[in-house]
Amino acid sequence: MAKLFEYQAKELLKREGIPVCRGRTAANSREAEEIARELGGPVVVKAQALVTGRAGLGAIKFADTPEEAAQKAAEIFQLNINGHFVEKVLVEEKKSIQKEYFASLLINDACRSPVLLFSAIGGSGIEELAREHPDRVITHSINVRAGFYEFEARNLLLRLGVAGKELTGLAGFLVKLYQTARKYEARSVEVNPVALAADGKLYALDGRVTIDDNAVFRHPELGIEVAREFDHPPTPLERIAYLVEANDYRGTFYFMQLAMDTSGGGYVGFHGAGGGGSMMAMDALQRGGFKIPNFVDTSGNPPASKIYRAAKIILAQKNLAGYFYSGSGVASQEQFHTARGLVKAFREVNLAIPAVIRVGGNGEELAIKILREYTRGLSAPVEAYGRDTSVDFCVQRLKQLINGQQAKSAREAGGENG
Amino acid sequence: MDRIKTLTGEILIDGQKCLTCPEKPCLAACLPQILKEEGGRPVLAIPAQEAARGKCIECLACELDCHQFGKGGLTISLPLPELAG
Repeated sequence: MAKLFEYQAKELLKREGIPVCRGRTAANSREAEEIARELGGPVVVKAQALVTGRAGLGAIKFADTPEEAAQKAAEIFQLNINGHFVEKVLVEEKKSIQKEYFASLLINDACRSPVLLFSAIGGSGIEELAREHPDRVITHSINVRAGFYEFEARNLLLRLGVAGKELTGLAGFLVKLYQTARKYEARSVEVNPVALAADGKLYALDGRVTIDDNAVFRHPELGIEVAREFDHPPTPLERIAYLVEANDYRGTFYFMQLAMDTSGGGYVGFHGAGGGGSMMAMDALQRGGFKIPNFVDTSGNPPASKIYRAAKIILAQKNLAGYFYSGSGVASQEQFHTARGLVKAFREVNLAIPAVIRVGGNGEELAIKILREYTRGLSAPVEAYGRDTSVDFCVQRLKQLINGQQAKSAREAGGENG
Repeated sequence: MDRIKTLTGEILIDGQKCLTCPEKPCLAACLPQILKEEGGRPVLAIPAQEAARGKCIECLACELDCHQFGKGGLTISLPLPELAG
């Protein structure tokens, strides 16, 4: 799913008639100061980052003057959130809030419909709130064919004791929230808090919108380059990987970088096949003391060419100590395609780091044979195993191979020096 | 150099090298059997358009066996997408 930044989400909400605070984004502290001066009053400076809990990270700050806004923005631009620096801050007028609510709409696969979630109490921890005070939360499954209308919203709100002008305002707000989700084919739209301000209006003080990956192509106006649910802007390798997948319908390829700074050693390029098998393999690598710089899943019987490109992208990461491939062990995909894709990639780069490949599934015997025979002569060893060999054993083998290679390098360096 | 378009890449054939290759392991390796020998070198046994549309399944078997057992005349070029800007 493609997550939008807060300022992008608010733009969509605004287009559907939901009030948002005046303000815009700044790429540096000088711009933040200018915006604060234009707004002419206390402002809030918010890091545009695809994570939750920004206030706790020091990524949301208040400022009373333009100079203070510049200073707060400068502090935020110094933040490193999940390995990524903040590129934009949103500078908005600060509202005097009288009351806060929570509103979201998400596609619930179990219900096979969008589900509206509304709470008369705003703020974080809506899940706990729903458990502790179910009477303060409403959930409502919406029939997309019938739509969602204000009278329905009013009836729901009445159950929570909402009355008067708030009832009318919130009912309209919830309908617009649904319309936003429907129009842009969002998997979720969340506003927390919905704030009743001193001017009597309801505002979306925050906004989170996640667009359905499969609908992104219908919305070029959103400018989503990589339809993936990342917690950071896509890296160059992630953008390349996404294009590989976008240009080839055969099988699936998912690539995500988990660590940008791979100095310090112990990083193993990870290549999984199948979600469950990948998680099992990543756990085993971590138990073995390795660090994982990326997540990759190639599934759905991809051609060897896609496996090859995945391997090349994994190997483009810096400072890798080894390469580890493992699937579920019972994959229905043809494992000789996996083997040939890996062999071509390993040969092209003349693999200099040990690799352990655990292929389980159709044709695994042939795959193991290809991997073992066609990688002889490479600078580093490649070992291949099948489903009967445990993932933990494969991790231990990788560790031994890496240790052996490092000891050999040290001996050679010692010999040269001596 | 002969060039055969595939769905996402190209098969490049250096005919001079192939002329010196008696076994032509690429032909036996080709899983969808879309290659044949003609004039001492591998050529497409199907219309080029069909290979480009996916009849060549990019299994890479021809390249691997060519470089493992043959003379290294056949290589598949599979470029990675380039980033705009």
